[in-house]
Amino acid sequence: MQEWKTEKLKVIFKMELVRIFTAGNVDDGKSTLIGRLLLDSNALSTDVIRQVTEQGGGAPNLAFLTDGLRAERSMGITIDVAYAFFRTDRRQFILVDTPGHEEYTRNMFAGASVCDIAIVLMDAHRGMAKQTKKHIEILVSLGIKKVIFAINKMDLVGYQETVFLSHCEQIKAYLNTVSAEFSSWFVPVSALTGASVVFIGESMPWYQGETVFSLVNGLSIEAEGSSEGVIEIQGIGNQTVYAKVLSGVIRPQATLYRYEESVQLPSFFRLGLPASEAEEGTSIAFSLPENLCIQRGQRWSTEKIFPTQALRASLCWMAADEPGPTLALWLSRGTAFHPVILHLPSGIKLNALSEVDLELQEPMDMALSIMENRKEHFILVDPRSNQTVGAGTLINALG
Amino acid sequence: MLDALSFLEAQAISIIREAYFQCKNPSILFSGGKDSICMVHLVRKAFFPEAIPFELLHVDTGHNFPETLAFRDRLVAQLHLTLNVQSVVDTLAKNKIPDATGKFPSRNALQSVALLEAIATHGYDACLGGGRRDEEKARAKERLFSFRDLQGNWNPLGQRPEPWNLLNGHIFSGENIRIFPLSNWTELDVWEYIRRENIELPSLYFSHSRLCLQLPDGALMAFNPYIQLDSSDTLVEKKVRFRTIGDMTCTAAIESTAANVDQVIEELKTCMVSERGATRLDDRISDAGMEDRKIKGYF
Repeated sequence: MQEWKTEKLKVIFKMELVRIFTAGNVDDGKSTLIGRLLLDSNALSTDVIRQVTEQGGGAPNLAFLTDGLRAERSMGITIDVAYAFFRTDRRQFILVDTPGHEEYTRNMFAGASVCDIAIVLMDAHRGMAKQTKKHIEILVSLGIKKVIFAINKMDLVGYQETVFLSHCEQIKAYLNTVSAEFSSWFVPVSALTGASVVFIGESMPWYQGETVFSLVNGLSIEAEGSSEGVIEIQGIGNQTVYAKVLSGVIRPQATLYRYEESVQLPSFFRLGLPASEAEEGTSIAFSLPENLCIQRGQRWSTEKIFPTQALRASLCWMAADEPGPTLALWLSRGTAFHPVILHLPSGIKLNALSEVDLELQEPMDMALSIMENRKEHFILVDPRSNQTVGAGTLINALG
Repeated sequence: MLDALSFLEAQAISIIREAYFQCKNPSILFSGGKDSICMVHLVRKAFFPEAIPFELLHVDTGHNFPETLAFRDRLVAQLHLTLNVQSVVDTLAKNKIPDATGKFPSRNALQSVALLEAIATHGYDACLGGGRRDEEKARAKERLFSFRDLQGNWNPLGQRPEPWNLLNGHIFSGENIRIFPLSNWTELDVWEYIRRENIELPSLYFSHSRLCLQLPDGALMAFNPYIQLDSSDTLVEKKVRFRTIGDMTCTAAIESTAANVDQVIEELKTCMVSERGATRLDDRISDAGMEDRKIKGYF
């Protein structure tokens, strides 16, 4: 590039998008913590503050910021996932407020599935609840990499360091039993008073560590993917193939493989523009190659795609009714829906986590590296109701 | 790693493609506002180099700003799109539903009836809308693919979970999916995208002089033939722009000197009032106004 052009080039700072969710037992203060994060980081507008202050009878009811449904406000609990947004000078955050109530665990699972960082709340006054343990299990199952344990309601225990430390020990002991592989941080907070949420405050002089805010703004969020370039076919237009990059980087002229076939990728449009490469998450479009049967749901890879019909998966069951031992359902990993027979262990109930066997009616395309990275996620749909009845991650191809 | 805006763009394009490949006959709900204009841009990019494969549906309340309608018609002509206009007035007359009355006769809630009629007439099984979760707290509960039953009703407590954003667009005949590709965008994201992509908008979004009716709480309503003036009302000429564009009867202007996209972005970064709080009379009625409209078939 010519000198004068580089001098004129504007350095545009790239904002990072970070998704965070709150987990923990009902009433441990998840919605209040999100409200506190929003309020103290100046993310709330004056009319919104006025509305929740009226509802709170004079002081802002922080939980009402995200409890967007009338039923939630009247019951004082979060039923379904809500999203809130705020920015710092380097990051844009999507805050996912998930329900703590056992009945709505499937919503917590879904909300948490796309997040980079988890904030697990625990009531310092009550200690670890059954549902806290369940949520930790779900974090492990989802493969969340970074977890902040916020020991909340420190105001109720006189801001005592000994209480905080004993809870930390209890959590660490539990993490050992579930072989958690994520990195963890521990912060004593009071979402109600704001201590250690955005500002460190003066109520706990013994704590000079990070606040919840400084952690979420500072923790590095690197995408961990494989180098294998894999695309999935989203569909075919008149003469155009529409595909999405599932992992790695794809370049025009790359040779892509599927089963015994191969194709040289023509030049393509990435997000509507001609491009020399396309990375994970982006969609591409290219002219339909001749002499190849390309269909929605197929995968093409720079390395290898193999067909599989029998799979093992970790599953979260999401339907209210208890299923029979064998079910005929549809499985989708994002594009095509594949008929599948599901073999369930006995006693599966709503929100249960288990390992199950799946038997596909026709072969489905697999890229080994995606499965090995535990990123081969799916949903199950019941054709009789069209409801999404389960979701999980494929862990092993059996044949 | 994709920067935030590119990530949101990639996610929206992926959702738009799924809408097309999962549903039989999806349409775009087009209001002429910045969000639906951005969505048309995203749909173009999603299917480029081929043409936009969706029809546009405009539920016309008859209370639109003339600038919105002119912009709509220009865009439709430029992109050779098919536009279906469903008139709220016609639907009301046909179904013998009383029209909105009062000082600010908003047909906003009545749009739902017209929308459901249009869906039935054209056989749409899915409608893409520009709704965003940051707009309002009931919208913040919305799924990417949001199921509506035979009556067009939303059941907020029984929504289909969308883990890993995996979308389930399966429905039975007569049911409908509302699709929101901009779910995770904020107002500021939309404006930064408009700047990055150089997207043209109706002039209403930028500062201009306008004769306004000033309400007791300070809200400024564009002087227009549809609101009833009382003898005590005072009209003032102000430098204003609109943050949202809805009906002339329920959309307030804000005082602003922001005359271009850069200035609007700077204004939003320091603004302490939310988008709908600043501009929408229809949301001030109760704290569940949006939830109630949505349950009955609203966008």
